[in-house]
Amino acid sequence: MMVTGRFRLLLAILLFSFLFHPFCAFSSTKIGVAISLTGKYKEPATMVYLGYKLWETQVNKNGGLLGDKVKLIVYDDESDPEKSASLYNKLITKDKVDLVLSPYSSSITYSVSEVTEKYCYPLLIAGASDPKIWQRGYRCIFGMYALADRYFTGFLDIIAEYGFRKVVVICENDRFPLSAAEGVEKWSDRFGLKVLEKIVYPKGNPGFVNVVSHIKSLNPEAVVLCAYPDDVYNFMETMRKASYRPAAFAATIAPTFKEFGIKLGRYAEGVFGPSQWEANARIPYPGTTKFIHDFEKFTNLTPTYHAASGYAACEILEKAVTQAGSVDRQKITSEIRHLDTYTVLGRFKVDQCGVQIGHNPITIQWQKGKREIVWPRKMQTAKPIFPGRNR
Amino acid sequence: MRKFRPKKGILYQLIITVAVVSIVAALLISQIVSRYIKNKYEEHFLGRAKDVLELCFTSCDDAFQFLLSERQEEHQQVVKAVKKDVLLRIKNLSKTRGDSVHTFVLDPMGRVLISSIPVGERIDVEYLSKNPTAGFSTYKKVRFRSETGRELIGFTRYFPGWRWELIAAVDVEKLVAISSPAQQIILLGFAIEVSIIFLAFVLIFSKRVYKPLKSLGNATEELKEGKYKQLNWNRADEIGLLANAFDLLSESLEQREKKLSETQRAVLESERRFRDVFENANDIIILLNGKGVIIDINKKVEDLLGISKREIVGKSLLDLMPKDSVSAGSALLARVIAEGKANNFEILLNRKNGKQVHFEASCKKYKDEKSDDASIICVLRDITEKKKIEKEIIATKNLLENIIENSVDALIILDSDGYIIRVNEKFKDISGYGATRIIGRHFTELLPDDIEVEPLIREIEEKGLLVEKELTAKISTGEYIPIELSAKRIYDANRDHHATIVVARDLREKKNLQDQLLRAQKMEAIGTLAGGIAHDFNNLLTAVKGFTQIMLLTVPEDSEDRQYLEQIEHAANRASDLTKQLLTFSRRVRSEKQPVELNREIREVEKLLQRTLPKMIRIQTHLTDKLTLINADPSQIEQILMNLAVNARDAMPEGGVLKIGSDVVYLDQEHCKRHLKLKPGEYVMLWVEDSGIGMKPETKDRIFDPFFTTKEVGKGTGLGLAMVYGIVESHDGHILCYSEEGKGTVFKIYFPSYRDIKKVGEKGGGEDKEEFPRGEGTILVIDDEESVRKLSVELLKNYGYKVVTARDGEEGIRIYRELQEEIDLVILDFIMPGMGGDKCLEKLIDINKDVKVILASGFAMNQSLRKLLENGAQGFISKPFSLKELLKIIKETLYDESPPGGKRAAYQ
Ligand SMILES: Nc1ncnc2c1ncn2[C@@H]1O[C@H](COP(=O)(O)OP(=O)(O)OP(=O)(O)O)[C@@H](O)[C@H]1O
Ligand SMILES: [Mg+2]
Repeated sequence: MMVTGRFRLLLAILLFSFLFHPFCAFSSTKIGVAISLTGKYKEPATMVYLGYKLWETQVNKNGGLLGDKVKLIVYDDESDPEKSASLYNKLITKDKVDLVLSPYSSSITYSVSEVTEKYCYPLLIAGASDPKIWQRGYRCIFGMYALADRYFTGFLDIIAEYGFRKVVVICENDRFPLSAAEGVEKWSDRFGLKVLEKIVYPKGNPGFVNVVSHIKSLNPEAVVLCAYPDDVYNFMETMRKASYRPAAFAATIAPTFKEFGIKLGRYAEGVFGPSQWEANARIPYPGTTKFIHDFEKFTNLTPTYHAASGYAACEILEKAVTQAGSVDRQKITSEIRHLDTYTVLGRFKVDQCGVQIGHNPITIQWQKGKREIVWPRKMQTAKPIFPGRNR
Repeated sequence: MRKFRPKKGILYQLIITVAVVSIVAALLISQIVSRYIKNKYEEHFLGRAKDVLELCFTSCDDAFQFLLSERQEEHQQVVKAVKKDVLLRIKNLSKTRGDSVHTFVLDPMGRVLISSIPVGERIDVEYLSKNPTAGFSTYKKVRFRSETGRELIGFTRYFPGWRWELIAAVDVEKLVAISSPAQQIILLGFAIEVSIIFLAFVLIFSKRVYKPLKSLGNATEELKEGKYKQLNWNRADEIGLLANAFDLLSESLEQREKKLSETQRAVLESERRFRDVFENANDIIILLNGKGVIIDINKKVEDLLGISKREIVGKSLLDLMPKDSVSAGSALLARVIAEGKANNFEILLNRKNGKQVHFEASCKKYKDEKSDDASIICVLRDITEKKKIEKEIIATKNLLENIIENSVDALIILDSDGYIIRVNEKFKDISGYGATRIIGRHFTELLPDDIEVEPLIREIEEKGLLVEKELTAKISTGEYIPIELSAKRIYDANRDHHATIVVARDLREKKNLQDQLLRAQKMEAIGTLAGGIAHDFNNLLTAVKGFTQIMLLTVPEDSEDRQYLEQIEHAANRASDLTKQLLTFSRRVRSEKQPVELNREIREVEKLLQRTLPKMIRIQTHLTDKLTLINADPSQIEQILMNLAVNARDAMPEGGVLKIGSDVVYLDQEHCKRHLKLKPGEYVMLWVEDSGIGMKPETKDRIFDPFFTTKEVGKGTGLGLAMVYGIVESHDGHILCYSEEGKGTVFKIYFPSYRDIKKVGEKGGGEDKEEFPRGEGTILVIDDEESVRKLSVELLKNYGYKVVTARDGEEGIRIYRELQEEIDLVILDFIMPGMGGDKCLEKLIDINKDVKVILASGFAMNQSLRKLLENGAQGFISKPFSLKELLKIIKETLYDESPPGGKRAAYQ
């Protein structure tokens, strides 16, 4: 609760500073973004936004982009894909922004990218990982995240190594969860695991009592939940009430937040989750440690991978603009396509379709109230544990 | 002499036991050691296998991560190349890393993909881990055979990326081959060692332990027969200690026997002596057993109880007691048994002739050495005589105690050095000192410092007593009180020590009443005398005055005699004043009594005093809010107040505080006892207090005397307080004065309260009204002097006016401009800083030409003032003004409709 309170305050301050920013009459680069500052995606989206904001402050302090001051124009899409699309339309046609940054969530990005593609604005997607986004033959979109279908590679690799065999997947009927679940099926097969059942539940939080009792009857060794945070909390609460806990449990997004540990307390122990990144010194990429430090100083919060990807998207944009030597969007697009570099998030490299092929997600696990990196094995901060294995 | 020879020698027992134990231990230890060695080897090699397996796994993981990050994991050719590379690396690991560790990789179907030694196409592994359940460990211990039939043990680990089973194992036979020679060498060495130790042990044991033990045994046998022998071996070990102990034992036994026979003789001697003492003791000595039965008793019993020893022994002590004290007797016995002793216990025993004898018993319990029973020894002393005397003493003591405590006078007992050792209750009442506070102090502490004690002491020393000496004593409050003292010295039987009994009588009350009576009588006498003279004198004065006036009528205006006559008249008037005062004192003036509210009188007089007393004297009133109604002559009450106030003024030449107050009090019996004429009841009290010079006690005693004054001639007549006294007396009241030099004086006057009549109506008749005319309206007072402003507000408020004030001309103009409609009259000071009175008047007239202004000035009427009066002021009053004048001119000016210029003025 405290954190959300602090969040709100921070937001207010930032929004104010934006509102009263004097409009510079001469040479400023306008960058537009509409993002979910309220609504369902509020928490991860705000992190992305703060990543953008940190970059804006830093780039302006270091003399701007090609010598011009950078100015972010920000709107709140209220977590509504249609509203977001129209906001981007407004940013491009009315506000005449030079460049855009991406919104958060797969579904919003899906609809927004239709607009940006139309106007040939390069879009560095810092908040989505549904492969379908890249299957439309678009030319100006670039992923920051490893794709959703790779989210659980690490988790499945680990449980296979430890001798587990039976897995159940549950996912919300939404773009991102569905594609993550598909990935689970694919990789389970690879690693010699057996997916007992894939349960798809309708959008909009249906309640999980029946789902949980069904899973219980299947008696799997591992359960993977692909859903947005509210559903994850809901599902785990239901499990707790039913006093059911599989030997291994993994879920998307929610476990990467600090709130996860606060909300669930000891029940968070042992939960696995995919993460694009962790605010941890074991992450070996250049600039990561400095970014963590700067972000904490800037916001008083520990960055999540969403913040890091937001910041990383800006880093890529900056690099591309610098190499292009102007804000010519066509040049920038081609520069991005050919980049093979490292950001705070990790390696950046896209294929012809703009799919991120440089970056791999990592797997974290909640151990003793902290998030530990358990995969890839090279970055391990702790060995995986299975507190629920005897039950 | 018997030889010390055991049936089964310790030497043989030990040899057999040690031999058996060492053989068994050697076997066991060698077994354990060889197994330990084998395990160590195995552990070492298995550890190596685990390390190699870890390396294999990391190779796979690295390759797989590479494929993942390059998105090549689906690309068949790339994957194949990478896998081949990895397999080769794993095979080489066996060579480079562990000479004896072999590596194998199996595909998901269990087929061998690669192996560092030939094992055929498949391997059948046997899992050795106890708990192969999921989630515990990724390593599993396995055993299998190679193609050549050699046994291998090691670990497997599952690599999920390609679903490979990775194995690292070591050759079991090779393990054994390495470990067995080491085992054999250790075993042989061990066997030799054990046999050498065994032989050495047997030899040493026989020489050092077995033989000495045997000779020690023989020596002990001899001891039994009374031969005290010394071994004198000088050995430092346990056997040596044993031999020394034996030597000591033999020596001490020898000595003990000698001592025993000596003691026996001494005991017999002592027994005889004690029996003598016992039999001839002056008290009864009884020996009882634990149950109180008499075992032994001395001859004294025959003298004291008349019973022979033979009759008594065997009886219980309780049998000797009268029936009603048996319980006390058994309590005594019980106590002795419980506590071990009891001292000075009183018991009663029967004489043979039936009489009873008082004894004081002291008993002690002691343990009999042979039997476990406790015995009691009791010494009984005859105290019949002592008892009788004791009773008498107590009775006498109680009597004396009563006499002392109930004495009407204070009693003090001093020791021979004059220190107080005893006081009674009355002493405490008088002095305020409790016994604990005073006992141990010297008696002179009770006397004033300036008293000469020497003569007193001498008198007592010479005569042995002191009779009814009047002295002053100092009591706990620090006060001095008059006492009457008698003392007598008393001696103990040898006349060595003495004490002094002092009887002190409080003379306060007596003295006080005596004084009062004297004073009353004196006043009465003076009163009669002065009254008589004054009366006659007054008549004479009337004549003098009358004739003088007649003469004045006849003597022409310009005659010189007229001057002399006027002086006679003046002197006569003064004399007549004096006689009037005297008459008042002697109560020859009739007082016109009526119900009077004292508080109101005080307030009236206070107003007067405010005006007349110098400013450096502050006047405060402390009036009770109770009804202070008394039956009195109001003018006389005023006289009282004025006189007291004037005296206070004279007592405070440097200024100070004059407080006047009232209260309603109830005086009880106790209070009245101390004052001659007072009766219990409710009184209204008037008090007047000043912070002046105060009085000496001698002065205070005489203040009410007529013509007593301390003031210089011409200043005081000394009749003021005499008059007050007379008035108070005629009101059945009572006057008290408290004064201390340098601190101030309080007069308290008690008037009987007039309770039956309700509050009196508005006092005063028409005359008053005329003198202090009331009115209404708002008056603006402009004056720079704050006291004047305050006074005006206070005074005028009481007479119906509303008052606004201004500090100077400017403020005055401002206020007038604002409140012009309300303000009916302006009193304007003529001389002020800033805008003066003249300027101010001009401005006021500018605002309103009909404004009514009274000018006030400390100067007499002069040219400039006159001009102002002509220019518009309606009146003039000179400062300081009296209330009466002020009210009068206000009234006149307010209700006079004549236009400006019709002037009036009041002159002081
Ligand atoms: N308040 C007082 N403080 C100190 N001394 C006082 C006070 N009142 C009276 N006395 C003493 O008592 C004396 C007698 O007072 P009393 O009023 O009878 O006479 P007086 O004041 O001397 O003269 P008179 O009043 O006739 O003018 C005074 O001379 C004065 O010594
Ligand atoms: Mg006087």
